Amino acid sequence: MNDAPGLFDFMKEQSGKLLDQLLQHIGLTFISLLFAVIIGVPLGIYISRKKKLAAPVLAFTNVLQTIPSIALLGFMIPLLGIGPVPAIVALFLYALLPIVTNTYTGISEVDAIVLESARGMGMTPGQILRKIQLPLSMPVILAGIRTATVINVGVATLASYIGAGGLGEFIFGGIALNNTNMILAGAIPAALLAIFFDFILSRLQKIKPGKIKVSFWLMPVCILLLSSFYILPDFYRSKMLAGFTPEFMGREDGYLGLKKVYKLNIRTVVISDAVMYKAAYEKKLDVIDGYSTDGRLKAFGLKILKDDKGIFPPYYAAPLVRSEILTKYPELISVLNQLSGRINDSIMTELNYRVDYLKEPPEKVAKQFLMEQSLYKDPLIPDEGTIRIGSKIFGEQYILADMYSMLIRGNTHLQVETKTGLGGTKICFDALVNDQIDMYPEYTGTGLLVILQAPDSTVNKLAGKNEKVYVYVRKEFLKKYRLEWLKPIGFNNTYALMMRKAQAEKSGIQSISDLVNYLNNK
Amino acid sequence: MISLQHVTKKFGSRTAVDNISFEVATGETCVLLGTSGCGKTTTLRMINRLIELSAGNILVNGKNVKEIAAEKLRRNMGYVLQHNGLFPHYTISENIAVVPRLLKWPEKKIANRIDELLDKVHLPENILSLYPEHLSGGQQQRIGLARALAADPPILLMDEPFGALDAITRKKITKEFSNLELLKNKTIVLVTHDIREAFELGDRILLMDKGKIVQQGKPVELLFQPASTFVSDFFSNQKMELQLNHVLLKDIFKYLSSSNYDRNNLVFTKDTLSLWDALQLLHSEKRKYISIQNAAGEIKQASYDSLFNGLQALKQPGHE
Repeated sequence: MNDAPGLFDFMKEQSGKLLDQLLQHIGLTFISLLFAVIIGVPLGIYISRKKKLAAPVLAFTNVLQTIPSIALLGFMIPLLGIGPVPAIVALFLYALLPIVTNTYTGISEVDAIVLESARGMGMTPGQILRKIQLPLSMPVILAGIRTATVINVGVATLASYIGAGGLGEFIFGGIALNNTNMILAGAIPAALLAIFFDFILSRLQKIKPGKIKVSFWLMPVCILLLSSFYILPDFYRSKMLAGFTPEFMGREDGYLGLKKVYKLNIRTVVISDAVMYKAAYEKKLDVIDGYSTDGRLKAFGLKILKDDKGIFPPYYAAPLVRSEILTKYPELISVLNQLSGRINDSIMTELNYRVDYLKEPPEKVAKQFLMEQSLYKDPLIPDEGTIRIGSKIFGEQYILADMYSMLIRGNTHLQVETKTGLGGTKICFDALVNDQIDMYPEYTGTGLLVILQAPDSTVNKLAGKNEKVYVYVRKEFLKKYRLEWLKPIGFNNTYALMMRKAQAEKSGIQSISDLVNYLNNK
Repeated sequence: MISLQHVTKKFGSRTAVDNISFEVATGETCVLLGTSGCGKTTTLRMINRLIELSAGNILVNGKNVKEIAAEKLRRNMGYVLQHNGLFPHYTISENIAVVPRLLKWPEKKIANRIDELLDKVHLPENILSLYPEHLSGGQQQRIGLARALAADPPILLMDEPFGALDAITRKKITKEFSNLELLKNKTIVLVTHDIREAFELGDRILLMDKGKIVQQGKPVELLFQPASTFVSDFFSNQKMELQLNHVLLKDIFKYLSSSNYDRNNLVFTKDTLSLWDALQLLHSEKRKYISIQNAAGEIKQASYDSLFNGLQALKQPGHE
């Protein structure tokens, strides 16, 4: 339990960033909420008067609500690019349902006799709306806004996937970097924010309708203005924009190194690697990070910038397995090592390309490769036990997981269960340590920098020496976690900076130093 | 003041109100009486255009209501509903002030009017800042009335105004309303299904059935000269009670003899008392005979039996 003081230190140390993210988060939540109220309340009123429209409108907003948030954010990229705008649009769509539904319900449930007497006394429809229907349905409408607020605070954490900032940067950064403090530094304020706004709105709800003082409204308006001024201008300023994954942002062989060694000074947004390539292709981003073996390089017409100062050391990929399993099923060692040395950089890139760009299923790509290598055998009857194979959420990991799964089925009587698409290094590694999976393919660099978080002196000493990194990581993992690195698969994986080919050529950028010069001259 | 001419209302193919005509004179209380679904409420709501008529004309003070903007028309007619329809989010004083504010009265005038009204419906001033939910049903109904009369409209429309009250409160409030100074000189159209209420409050009763007026006239006329078996059947359950309550001593004066009874067994009264009240009086004073003096100063004496004989004799010229 050394997390508690650590968390406090982390938050103190990162307080500037934390405040930025908090304000961005509030901004995202409330700007979208404001639009949802501006559109949703009149829409709810309208359908309460045209009952025929109520069913289709409510059905439509319902459907919006069922679209997974990540998918909705993904849909936004071709239309609106990345950054706060698509995030606000997505959040707006999510907030719409509770607001429209509650407005409609609230207005419809106003006592018919009260309405009748209002009409009977000579109130116009407008007066009835303002003086009777809205005040009487206000608690229900506020309940809708309250629900929408809490939903939005939650969904806004995902906005960091498309470079819109917010507390999600810490949360997903922490997951990628195996940094619990970072996760908590994002998650706790987000939870507190939800609780806080829920509380404020619940107080508003209890105030007798029609008696709400202006000052009560003033506070949310202030927060909103503050956030909106903060969030918007910052995003649309200079011309080159880099989008980096949360993991890259926090790694020494990533953004930190770029700043230190290359003195790179570029506007950055944090973004999920699921949408990063597409955003670069759509010209929403100019520079992104990626893996040297990534198939999407070719798919999206990207070019790797030469790492002329060598800050991205190559690292081996190898299966990381729980020692316990290897003791229990020693035959696994030789089976899993069958792949060792079979896949070099260009083969891996080719396989990735088939999955990422040609959209072939990873399973098919894995099977064909094993057949070509004469490693494929039909599955034996499983009657011994089960091996659980995990993978991270990108193509290469899926392919490797499928290959291992086929090798185990073909050569042993073990059953295989795959848990693919785990959302980051921390999730995979924690699953492994906590006996949720038995193995997954990992990279020695990630092992060294992210998981072991080796001291700088060690890292410097090992820099560029693949074999030594492997030996060091292997020894430490066995000692610390009782995890075994099996033989390297053969290809080296390394980070790389990428740009669109056309843009790089036009600007005469070949290497990272070129990029730095280009940016400094502007 | 109010005149309905061949008014018809159809909801789809159903005819709710079928070609009815009647007039309500200034200061008169006219009761639309009938069972539910007879078209009485529809008729009432057409007068303030909460429902638009399908055919015919309604004139108020000689002006066709179609030519008056609905909101303007309604602001000049009080409207009282069964479930008072008070605004739950308005205080009592805000509720009363609704129509005056719509008419943009100065606040000072509104405040004075509220005080005046409160006094007239016999409610204390300290309820003004309360909300309707804090008031009893009877109090709410009185506020409903005060609200309807806030801008002193010459016409008052009442839809089952006491329908939501329990029997005892209802009787009390009905009695109270019939004596309310506030309602004097108002032209009132009141809808009810309660025969007792109709007799108590109505100067004239229009008995409706299936969208038509079956008979209209003074309460006693409906009782003693029913136009059809529907009318006599309608009142049959409460006939004796109604007769006793609404036949006055002067109505049967001519059928009484001028006998002389023992002075010690007499109770003295005027001929404006109802039969029921006369019987009550005999009972409470523990006397056998009643001595009645009419407006002309003529005096007659009667026993229980002769009072009932008189009532029978009154009914003879009728249809029965």
